Amino acid sequence: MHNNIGILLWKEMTEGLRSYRILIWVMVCLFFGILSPLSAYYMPDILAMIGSTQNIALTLTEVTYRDAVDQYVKNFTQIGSIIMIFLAMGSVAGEKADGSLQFLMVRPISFHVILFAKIIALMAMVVLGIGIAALVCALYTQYLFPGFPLTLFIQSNLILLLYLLVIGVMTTSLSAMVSRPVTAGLASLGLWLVFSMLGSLGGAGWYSFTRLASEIIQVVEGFPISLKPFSSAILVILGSIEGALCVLSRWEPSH
Amino acid sequence: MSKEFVLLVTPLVVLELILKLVCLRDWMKREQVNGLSRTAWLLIFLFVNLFGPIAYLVYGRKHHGHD
Repeated sequence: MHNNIGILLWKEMTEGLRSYRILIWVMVCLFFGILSPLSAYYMPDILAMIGSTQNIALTLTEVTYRDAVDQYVKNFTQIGSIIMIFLAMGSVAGEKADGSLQFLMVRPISFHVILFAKIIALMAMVVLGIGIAALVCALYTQYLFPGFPLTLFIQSNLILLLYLLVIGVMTTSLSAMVSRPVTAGLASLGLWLVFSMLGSLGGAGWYSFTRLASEIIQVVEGFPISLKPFSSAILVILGSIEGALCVLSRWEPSH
Repeated sequence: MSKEFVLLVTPLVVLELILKLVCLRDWMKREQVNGLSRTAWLLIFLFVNLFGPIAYLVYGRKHHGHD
């Protein structure tokens, strides 16, 4: 079984490189890591320029590292989530459609091993991307905003990692449940929107994993965090994997 | 435009160029693309920043399940 996982992981990583999935994710992470502190730093200049062309006087508060981190979190939890859905939606459904999953099933490999290999490969990709983004963002923010709490920022990236993993695992699992990548993508997008709307509610909203985004800011500012969104994140991950295994175990290849 | 600004922004420009070059290299060796015409995809990944190359690499370059 360990040998099978190793081979499947190798296959997933090779596929990730060949399909440019890893390249796209790393590029997007680098882009957000650089752009977030830069856009926060130059925002007053940009707004002043817009204001001067339209004869509007804009008064802005002083920009700090919090604005840079806020921008970083928004970029990843909004645009980053959508890109993650795009990258993960074809991971199983695409293989069902082009027949490579049927080819795998003639070998003595269980669905559990296939799904876990895909999820571990996805985790490796997300960790690599977020690691690079955090490093670049920390360098830029440290340079542009003195007094930036580097240790707290690194801790907060662990929560961002969990947020993106929930999206990735949810999309991969949905991809295992349906036969077309687009269906998996739309279903995942829909679920993410539902959780986001739930997260905007008062009390019950704390049980949505999307609230992890506000916890990231809390960590950077040194405030205590709530564990409720974490329980939701773990439940969504486990529920998604269980659902995917349940559907995959009944899956019959169409000829 | 200050020298500092140029130095800080240069990595973003380089990243964008790398993505466009990867797409262009793939586009040149591919006779058929997915969804739109080859010319439409060329214009999209050349002129739409970040999302244009991503859209091409994720969706455009696929053709009937073969990369």
